[in-house]
Amino acid sequence: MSNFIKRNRRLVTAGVVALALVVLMSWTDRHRDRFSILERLLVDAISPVARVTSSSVQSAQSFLQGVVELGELSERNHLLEEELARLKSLQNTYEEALAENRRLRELLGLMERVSYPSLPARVTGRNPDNWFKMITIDRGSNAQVRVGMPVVAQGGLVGKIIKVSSRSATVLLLLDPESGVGARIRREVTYSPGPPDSAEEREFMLGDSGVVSGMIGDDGMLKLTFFSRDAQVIVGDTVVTSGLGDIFPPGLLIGAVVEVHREEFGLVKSATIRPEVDFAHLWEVLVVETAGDGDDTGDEPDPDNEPDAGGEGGP
Amino acid sequence: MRYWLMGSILFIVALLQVTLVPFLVVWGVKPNIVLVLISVIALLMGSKAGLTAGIMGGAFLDLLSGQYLGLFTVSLAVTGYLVGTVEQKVFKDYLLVPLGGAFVASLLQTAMEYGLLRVAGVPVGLLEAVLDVALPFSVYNALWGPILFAQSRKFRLQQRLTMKAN
Repeated sequence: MSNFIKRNRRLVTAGVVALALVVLMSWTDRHRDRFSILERLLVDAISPVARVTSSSVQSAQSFLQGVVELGELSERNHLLEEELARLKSLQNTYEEALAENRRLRELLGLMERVSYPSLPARVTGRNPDNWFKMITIDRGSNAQVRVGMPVVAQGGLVGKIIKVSSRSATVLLLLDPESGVGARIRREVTYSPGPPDSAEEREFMLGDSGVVSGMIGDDGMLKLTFFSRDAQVIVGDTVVTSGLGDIFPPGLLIGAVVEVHREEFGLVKSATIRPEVDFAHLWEVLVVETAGDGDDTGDEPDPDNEPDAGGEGGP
Repeated sequence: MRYWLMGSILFIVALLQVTLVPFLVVWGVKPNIVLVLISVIALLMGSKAGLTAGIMGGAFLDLLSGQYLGLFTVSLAVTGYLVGTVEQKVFKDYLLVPLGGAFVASLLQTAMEYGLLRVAGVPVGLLEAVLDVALPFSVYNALWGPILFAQSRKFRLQQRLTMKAN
């Protein structure tokens, strides 16, 4: 044994050192919660020096780095400005996407409320003059859009298709003086079905009929001309399509009465209507797939499945 | 005259007219920058150029608007020609020239449009046509006159349009 150690001294020494190191490593693993005595002495001794050294090195490094980077600062500033501009642009895109998302969600909600099949479309253009009120949409005959189909958005009636090409269609807005939509008053009434202190119930009552059309100028209001001079109408009444004329399904929301005109010697009674749709901010619409003017199939909408764009119950 | 350049510019402006301009409604009316540009071209270059620009711009607007085909072509061509007749008689650097030019051009064009619409059977009352459309439209367009005039000068529109191709 002693001869073996003498002959292999280096090998044995190496083995012992290795074994000691293994023991030491296992004893000083990094998860222990305190230093060993030796370590503590060492660390405590060099700590002030290390702090000063570290601080000096850091200062020197900062200084040198500043000198080196001075030339690059202008370029970096320029890059940061570009980055800021790009981020601002991204933010705008993001906000635009959010707004579009909101509009599309509203459209989707409307799609679910309109009981007829409907087709979403984007507004791609508007008429250039001040006489007519029309928009162009990006769906045409390729998407089965036909002349006469009603167009809705934002919970209300927008107008009807008057011209169709393969990939686009022209919509005559309600605001146009030549539009003309059969309409009637719908008034919400509340009543108590039981004892006086019982819960009130609401009900919609249909009233007098007339024709809604736009006016010259662009104040965004509509005019409802009643068939009867004695029509019962008050400010706040809701106006919906009457279904007369076979173009617009009954019950599509048009707007609300904001002013009633009583002409003492006039033959008709009229009212000013604030449309439900904000025509100035119209980006997406729904084309309601009714038969349209150009359809000769004779398909009739299901009378038991009346549309309700306002979501307030059919007439 | 470089017709292709004039056509290209008017096409771009007509495109703006049906996409961007409808959002610039003031006093219930939107301006017609195609009409204003035609009046500027007519004031700078005379009747022939005004007529040509009117035909081109009007045709583009007719095609893009999809309504009464020819309504813009006729009214803008006549307007461009008439405005161009004063080209030699006015001092072009005076601010009132493009302003007044756009105002008169707008009145002329609206009057012609009104007449053509009546002929086509569109029921538009004269009083509302004047008060609700013609007057606010002409005033609004007049404000655009000096802007487009200055931009045309800056772009050296007249020189570019009359430059001969090499």
